[in-house]
Amino acid sequence: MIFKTKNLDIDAPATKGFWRSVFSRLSRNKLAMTSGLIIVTLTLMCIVVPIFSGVSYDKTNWGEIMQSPNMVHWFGTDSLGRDLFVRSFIGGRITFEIAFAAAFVVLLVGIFYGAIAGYVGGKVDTVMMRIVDILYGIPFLFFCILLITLFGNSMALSFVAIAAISWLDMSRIVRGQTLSIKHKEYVEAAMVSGVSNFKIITRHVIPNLLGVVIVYAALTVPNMIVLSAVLSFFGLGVTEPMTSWGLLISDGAQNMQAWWLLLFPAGLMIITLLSFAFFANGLRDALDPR
Amino acid sequence: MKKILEVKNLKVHFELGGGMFKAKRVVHAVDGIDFDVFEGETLGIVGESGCGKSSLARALCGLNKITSGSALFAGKIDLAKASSKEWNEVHKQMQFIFQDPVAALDPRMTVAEIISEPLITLYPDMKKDQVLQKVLATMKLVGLTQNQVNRYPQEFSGGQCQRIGIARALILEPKILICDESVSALDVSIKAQIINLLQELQQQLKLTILFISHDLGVVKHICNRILVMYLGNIMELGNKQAIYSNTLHPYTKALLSAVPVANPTLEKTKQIQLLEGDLPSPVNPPKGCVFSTRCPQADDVCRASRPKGKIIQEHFVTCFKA
Amino acid sequence: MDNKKPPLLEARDLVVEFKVQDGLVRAVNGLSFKVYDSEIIGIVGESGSGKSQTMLALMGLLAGNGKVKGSVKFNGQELVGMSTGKLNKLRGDQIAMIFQDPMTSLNPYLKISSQMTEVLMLHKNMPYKQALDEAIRMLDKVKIPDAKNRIHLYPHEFSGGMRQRVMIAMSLLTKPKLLIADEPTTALDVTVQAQILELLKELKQEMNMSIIFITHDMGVVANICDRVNVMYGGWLMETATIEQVFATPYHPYTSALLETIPNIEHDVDKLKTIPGEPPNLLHLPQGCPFQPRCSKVSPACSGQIPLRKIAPRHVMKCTVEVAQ
Repeated sequence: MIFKTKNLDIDAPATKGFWRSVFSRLSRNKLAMTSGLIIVTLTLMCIVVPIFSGVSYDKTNWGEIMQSPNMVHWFGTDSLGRDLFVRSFIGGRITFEIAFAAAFVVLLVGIFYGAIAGYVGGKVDTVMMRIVDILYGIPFLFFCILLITLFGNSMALSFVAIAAISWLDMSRIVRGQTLSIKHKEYVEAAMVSGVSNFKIITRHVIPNLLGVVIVYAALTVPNMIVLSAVLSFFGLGVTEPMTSWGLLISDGAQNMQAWWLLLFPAGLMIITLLSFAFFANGLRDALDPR
Repeated sequence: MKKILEVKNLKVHFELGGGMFKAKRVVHAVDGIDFDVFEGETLGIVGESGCGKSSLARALCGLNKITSGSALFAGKIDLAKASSKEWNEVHKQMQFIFQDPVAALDPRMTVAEIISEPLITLYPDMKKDQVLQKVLATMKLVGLTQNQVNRYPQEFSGGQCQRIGIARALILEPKILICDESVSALDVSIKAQIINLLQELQQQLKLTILFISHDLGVVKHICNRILVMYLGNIMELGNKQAIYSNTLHPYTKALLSAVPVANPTLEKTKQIQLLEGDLPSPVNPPKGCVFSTRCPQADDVCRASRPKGKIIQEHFVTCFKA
Repeated sequence: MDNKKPPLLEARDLVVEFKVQDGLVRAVNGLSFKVYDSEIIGIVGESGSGKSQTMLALMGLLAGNGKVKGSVKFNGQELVGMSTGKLNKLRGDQIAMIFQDPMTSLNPYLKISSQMTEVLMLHKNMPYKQALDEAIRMLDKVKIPDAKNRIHLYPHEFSGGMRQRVMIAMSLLTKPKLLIADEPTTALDVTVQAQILELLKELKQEMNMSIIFITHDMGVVANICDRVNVMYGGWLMETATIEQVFATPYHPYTSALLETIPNIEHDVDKLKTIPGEPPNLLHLPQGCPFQPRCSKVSPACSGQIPLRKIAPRHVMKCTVEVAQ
């Protein structure tokens, strides 16, 4: 709750809150800011390029098969004559969609699951964390193949598969943080004032672990990108003519003489991964200045 | 005088470890104590670390579970079996001030948010304007200025943080304040400010204070009555003059003699009763008197059975020798 | 004590600075003091007074962003600017340090026996058997019961007070000339504190060493020290024997500090207080750091303030008039 003091005739300057000072520290970190800019630009291009390029990503064009990069097709074309520039960004779009959506689910589920397990503790904690342990035991690829044989191959499924295993780490991290916050005196002060457990979690626990969580989330997104690429590399999840970075890289790897087929999608992905890593690093430094 | 808190045979035990194949061990933090707190007094609870004074204080305001016994609050609510509705009533009238002034404030909240939290929680119908007025009035009461209302705790020194903590406790206009080592972490020059503030507030608001501390100098200054604890048991209980100038229990004597006084001539000449050894484990307290393992006067009787508390010269003492 | 003998340790114009994000913090500012043979000198101060930073600077243990200026002579050797290797040798051998938390100098994964013998084998080239005997003898000396068997325990198997004794024993193994004790009894209960203080006084007599005792507790100072340095905001405010400090504290800070302490021996209705807040080292005033809180402040306080000798062995840094 923010109190407005204007009508009370008090000069009560609000000083920089936690998040604003984090941002001002972050903005001084050039590497992190550049990385952030690259991420934003790539995301925007993934949205914009397929819409405005006027070139279809899925139409076969027999007249322009396997062209190396040139002025018309900046990234060249593939074995069906499709423009790689457009395909790279439509693939990026799919990849980002899966990664961001999965990261969002991971954040939501991981935070609440971990915070409840850590805060309530005791038997509830034991049962909840054993469930996590059991899920950890399931081999990822095996799990995906099982899902696909049961429900058929679809993009939604690869998203479900990735989200289902990725929240486990997050919930463990959040639980650990919660355990340490739970014994802080400000949480006990809230208890002594009769604040309900749910309010304590949402008002005191989650805001105080958000810093760690955000850094971890920023590190999770590239993980998701890699996972979705791995799935599509094996032909799971996204299917032709739709594409993703994983699929493009897999194609490129099979046509090594057409070097551009591998170089551009892989290059984009590596740039993205590095940017996320640097950005997360900068975020961590900004959150925890020492 | 009216009793505001009646504690009878109160026990606070914690279970340790106890895995699938390990037997559970029980820490006897508070092991059956009786005392009353009267309205308007300051009762000091002293003892060394591990004596159970903090566990007692925390149990009284609901941070620890009471294992058995009873603690009757204001003659009507037994804290040992209070419902959550009754606890809310208790929270309105009994508040807690913590040891570490900085750690007791949520770093992500402004001063106003911190101080208003108890009010918003226990009086959810109160209007926002009223809440803010109350916050500002309480800040003034504890010596904070109004223009600090939107600042964050990191910008305050330890002494100011403790003032914020006191304001948070006082905004509900409680009857009892439990101070658990509330001035121990402060610098010497700030400590005196906060002690004076607590005393002024007590007079102004007719507060009852439970003052838990290991600092016998501070306790002597601020308290009317003093309760000396050792290993979860009461050793001696009485008013200040009785405890300090007519000490009966050997543990209290040792404790008082060990306090260093800011007076070199006195320090060079005084006789310190050095206690041998360490505090026994509260998991296996001694069979006889809990102090018998370190007591200079202990004999076989002391080691064989627990002494019952008795009243001598207006003291409540738990000792065979007194 | 005989003042003609050169002091064991002499600090002159010691300055300790830290570079932080918001500027330069001067934690210690122009500190000069002497430590003579077999005396216990106290350094008292509140948080931000620079008392701990002074000692870390002496030991060459400052954090990476810290810088030391000035001079510290130990037994004639200059410590400021000494190479780490030489300093390490000196630290293990002739200067020892004990801390508030014994676990900072004890390795939780090693038995006490191996930690103690290692020191002797390294610094004194003793064979293991002899080192073990010596270690047991030292544990006996700090009154650890059943030292012969308990030396083979791990640090966590000792209680807080016993652990402090183990740390003292370990620091004394090489028979140092100077022991720096940084709040060694602050975390302990009064009864245990009394034991440790007694022990330190006995050991000082027996081993003929000097002790620099850092604390914030004037009671502890009165108990154990011969002389005391009072620090505030990085400045050395007053140096005197403890009799002088407690009977005639001339510096306004020292006298105010003594008046704020609730005394177990005599009662007052209301404690005197020092108004204001502890110093913020980033925003110190020109001149004396105590000015904003001082009751005897004058315009001269924002200028240069020299050290003044008021009585034999009684020095202070203040402009206030002193009635002799």
